[in-house]
Amino acid sequence: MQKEIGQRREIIQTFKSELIRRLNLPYTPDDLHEDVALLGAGLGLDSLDALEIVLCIENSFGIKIPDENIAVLRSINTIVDFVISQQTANKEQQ
Amino acid sequence: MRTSPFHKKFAAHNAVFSERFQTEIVSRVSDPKTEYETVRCAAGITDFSFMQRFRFPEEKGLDFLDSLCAGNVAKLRYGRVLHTFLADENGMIVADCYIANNDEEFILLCESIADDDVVKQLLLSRGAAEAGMVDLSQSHALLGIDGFKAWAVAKELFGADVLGLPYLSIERYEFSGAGVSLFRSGKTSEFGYLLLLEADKSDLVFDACLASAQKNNGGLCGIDIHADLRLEGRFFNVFAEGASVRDPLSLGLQWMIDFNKEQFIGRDAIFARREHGLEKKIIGISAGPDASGFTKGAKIVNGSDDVATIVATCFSYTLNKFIGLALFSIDFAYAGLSFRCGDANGPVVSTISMPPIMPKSLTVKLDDM
Amino acid sequence: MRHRVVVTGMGVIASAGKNCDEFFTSISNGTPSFSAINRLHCSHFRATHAGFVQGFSEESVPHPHVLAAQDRFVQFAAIAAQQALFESGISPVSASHRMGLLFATCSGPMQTIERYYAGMAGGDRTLTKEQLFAKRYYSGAILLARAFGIGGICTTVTTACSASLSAIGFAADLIRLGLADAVLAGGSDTFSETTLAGFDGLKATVEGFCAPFSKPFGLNLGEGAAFVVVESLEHAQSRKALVLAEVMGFGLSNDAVHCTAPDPSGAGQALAMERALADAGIAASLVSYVNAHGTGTEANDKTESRAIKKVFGIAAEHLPVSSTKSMIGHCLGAAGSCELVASVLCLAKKELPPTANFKGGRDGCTLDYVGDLHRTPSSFGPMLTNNFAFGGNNASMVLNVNGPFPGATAGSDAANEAVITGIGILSAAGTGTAPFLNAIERNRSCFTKSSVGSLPGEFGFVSDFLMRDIDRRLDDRNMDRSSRFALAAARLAMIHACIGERQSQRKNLGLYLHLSAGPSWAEEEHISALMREKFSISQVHAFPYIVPNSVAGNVCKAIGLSGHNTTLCFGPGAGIMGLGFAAQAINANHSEALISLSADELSDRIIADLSISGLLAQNPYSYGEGACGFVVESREHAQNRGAKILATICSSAYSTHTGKENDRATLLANTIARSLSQAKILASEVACVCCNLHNELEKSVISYVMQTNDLRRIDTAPQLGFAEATLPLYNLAYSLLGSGIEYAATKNYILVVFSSDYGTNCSTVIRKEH
Repeated sequence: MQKEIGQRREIIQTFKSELIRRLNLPYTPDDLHEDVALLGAGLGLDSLDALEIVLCIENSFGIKIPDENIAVLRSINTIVDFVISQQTANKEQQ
Repeated sequence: MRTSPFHKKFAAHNAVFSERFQTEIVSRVSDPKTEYETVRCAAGITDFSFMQRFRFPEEKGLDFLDSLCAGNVAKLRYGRVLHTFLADENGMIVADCYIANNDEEFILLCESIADDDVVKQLLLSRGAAEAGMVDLSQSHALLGIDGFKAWAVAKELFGADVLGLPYLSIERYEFSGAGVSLFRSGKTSEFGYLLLLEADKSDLVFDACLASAQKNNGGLCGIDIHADLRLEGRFFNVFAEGASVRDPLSLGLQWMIDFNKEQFIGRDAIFARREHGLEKKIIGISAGPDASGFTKGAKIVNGSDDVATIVATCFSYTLNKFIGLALFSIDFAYAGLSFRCGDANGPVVSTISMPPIMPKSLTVKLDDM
Repeated sequence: MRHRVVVTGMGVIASAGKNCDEFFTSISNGTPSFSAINRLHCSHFRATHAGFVQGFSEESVPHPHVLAAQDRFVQFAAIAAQQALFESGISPVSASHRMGLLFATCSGPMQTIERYYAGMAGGDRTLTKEQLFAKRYYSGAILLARAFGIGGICTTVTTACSASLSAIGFAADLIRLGLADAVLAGGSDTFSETTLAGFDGLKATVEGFCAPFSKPFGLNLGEGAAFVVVESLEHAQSRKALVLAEVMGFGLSNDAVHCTAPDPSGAGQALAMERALADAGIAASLVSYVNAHGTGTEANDKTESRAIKKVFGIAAEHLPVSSTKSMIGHCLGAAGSCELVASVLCLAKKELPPTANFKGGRDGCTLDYVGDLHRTPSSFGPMLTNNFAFGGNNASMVLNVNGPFPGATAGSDAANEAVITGIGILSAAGTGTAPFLNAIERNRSCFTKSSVGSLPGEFGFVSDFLMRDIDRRLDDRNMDRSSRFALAAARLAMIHACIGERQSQRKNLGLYLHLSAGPSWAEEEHISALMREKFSISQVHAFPYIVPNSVAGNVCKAIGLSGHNTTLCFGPGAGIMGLGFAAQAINANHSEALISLSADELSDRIIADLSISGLLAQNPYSYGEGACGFVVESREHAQNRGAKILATICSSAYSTHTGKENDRATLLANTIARSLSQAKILASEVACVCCNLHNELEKSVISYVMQTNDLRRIDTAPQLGFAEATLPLYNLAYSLLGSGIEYAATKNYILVVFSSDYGTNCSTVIRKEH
């Protein structure tokens, strides 16, 4: 369990600090609950911010989000889930 | 108990009423599954008149509301709605609030977990009278239209322009000579509107809403199903996890707070807790095929250690299983883990990313209609 | 008397052709003229094609002694301009100051700018004064004016994708108001990899060919230039010139919602169209064709269709709407004029410009998009053309093709006088009027040293300030310095004028932003990042803010201003040059009230450039930054709301030194004399003159024209620094609010003179009210 927690926590921390930096959000990483809606409700980010988020994920984890996949961008948790699933898939391919 | 202005209308449909915090609520109109599908697939008309509602003239109201609520009211743009909360001096949630900038006025709508009059008294004790507050609970009613087809009902009543309303905005309309303030809000994650109506015209609007909803295969709903819908959509429900947990930080409501604001009720306490660091956090959970013991108050354990308490549950008809929210110790507050419910031999409980469903409304764009 | 405005000459160079005949043939045949982007850094972008100008040769550039070594965007403009001038038969040199130039661009001198950043990345930090000038957005207009001998007003419209349509609209106003006999107006932009990278990063581009209103989603970039010559109907008739079209009216608005995405409800776009129709004085039902902005992006096409339905109602069902971008791509600053030229050429041949690559409407697009070729329009009424831009700038124009509109003419003859009712100041002295007046009155210099390297000298920097001290309802989070300055000055002016106190009252309040150098942070961030990362896109938030009108966009969004608005890069002296323009908007009845403001920022980049180019050392004064805004209203509007009128804008005269006429001193003297005679006053009625005390030319000419050395002169540069765009407005503000100036009943006029080193002159007469 500790290993899973560690892996998830690391991805969460990396993503949060990059996101805060890129979008200049007025929050600390601990202020951002992982289930808060990013676009529309919750943080209320817009379409331009969504593009930044996609680039943030690409640059931080080397993972591309397909254009139509808005479901992935709903919250930090959904993004982390996607990153983990891609990383697992990549590992299996190797 | 403050009664519902729609009592007769709902009673005619065999609604079940009850009392909550000294306000009358319509609990149910039909069975949960029907009401669930009404919202997720069609349009549900719900009585929201239990909410406290007040109007303030713009200038004084701005400063007043800004000094009390956690969010930034000053920067709220004309025609927009702020979703924030009112806390007590200990920084614990008292009410979940919508504040609307209707240009010459601000409108405050509250879902409160204190008795009906408490919010009003709190506001008065802080100078609400001097700020020009007007209590709308008798003069106005609140009706909700929620659902995948809620936009069709709104469009029929108010015209195609409603489709251009962004989420969390307010617009004034007229219906048959009745002035209506339409909020595009909604906490079910389907399209949702709140109609603030003059009480003497509310029946007229109710009839029109119901007729239109029925045309779209919808109908009346009680408020109980909204608890389930909110949980499924991971919208904050002050009556469920809000009442159990009370601390906005553990509830993940930091986004409702402007940390750069110098004053709001409970600021010091909230800042102190933030400084100290979170010890507990709300995380989404899901039961397995065996959901025995998966109830509010139940413990979640990791081996022999208690790691969480369940604060809310519901049955998700979409996922066909029980889901919920639990207050976790911070060290275990992560999605994607497995625990046990009750004790080490209890049924498996998993932590999940919320919301676990993809609502229909998020898959379509209103401006394509 | 309001003159009717007609087009008597057109010129174009774009992917579809290097002159009007080639251009028309290609458009009429519905042939997309895109070719593959075979550029070094672009292979990984989604975009694969663009509308490149084919077979461009340096030999085709007119006036090579001025333009041979210049940036391609000026050269394109010159080619198109020459065609337009030739067709109209007007000689700019003969027209002298009665001919103006309104040049529009989105990216400006991109080749020069990219070379500059590439040089920096390679460690090269040389920069001559000429290169610095060439890098500025306003350089193209001035070079073009010099090349062709256009001696009147000269400015650059920088409202991105709506710029050239706006430019033609402003040109029409000059003619209507009798301020010019002829105006050359249009736009130019060149293809650039950094611009492509920006659009690609925003996921706005398409792989292959675009399909406006259809599928797939996305735009192709284009490049080129198109210019028209406009003059009054009487002037054209007296010359027996062929009238190609009549400019009946135009309208502008600002969405005030987002820096790139349009307001999805289409409200802002509809507003621009409605204003254009009102300005033209015709009902929507008379319009027989709409040339859409039609970029092909998901956001635009749907919103534009919705807006068209809003404006035209039932009539929208049978209204042909087509997108020229389907064939030539998005020519950015040249889009408006290229598409206008395409429409006029096609309609003159009695056919509708088609939408190429149209295979049925996408979701939300249910209008008639003219997917067929050579269609004869069912009616020959006026047409409407749209262009919508980043920063929420919307422009729309109504034209009648093939001659003047045969119906009733539009608009009242009454010219509304423009008055000043409020002033907002942000300067090196502090926030607001009080510290400003204090500093000037006590001759207190507000200079500090720069933190850039070991630069000598001091500057008039604006010290940190909190927006909430001005108005705590303004959200300036993440705003750049230029935008913060502009926002502060605009809001302070509004507060001083007691206008737009309610947020709902600001819908018709306009904004004119006048710049010299403009903001530089975004250009640096976007381009430097691309060069560092080998053109792989690592961030997208800078690109939308490269265009100068993003500053105005930020202000409009923060305050909620949806009125008549634009961004003009005049260069040095912009503030006072633009004030006259703002007055024209009032005079021509486009707006009842607007804020005319200018802003300067001394970023590290700008200071470094000034230093390296030698300008810092050469100039005897320190540079300054800040912003100053004036609320300009019609007298009637001000009186109706009981506003205190501070002053009346009586006249503005402009000239550009092109080298083909008098020496600079005589030119400036004539300009000042013209402003006095337009205002119908004598020199003796002038109480004070605002000018640059270090500008020897201004000093001597003013003495000569005013026939006295005793005239009180106002120059705030010694205290605040030389803020290129804003200084003349600071000076005017002091003349209106400061003490110690002797006004009398027969001596209550202020003269504001500005003569820039680049040869642009402006003389404005203001009457102080008691």
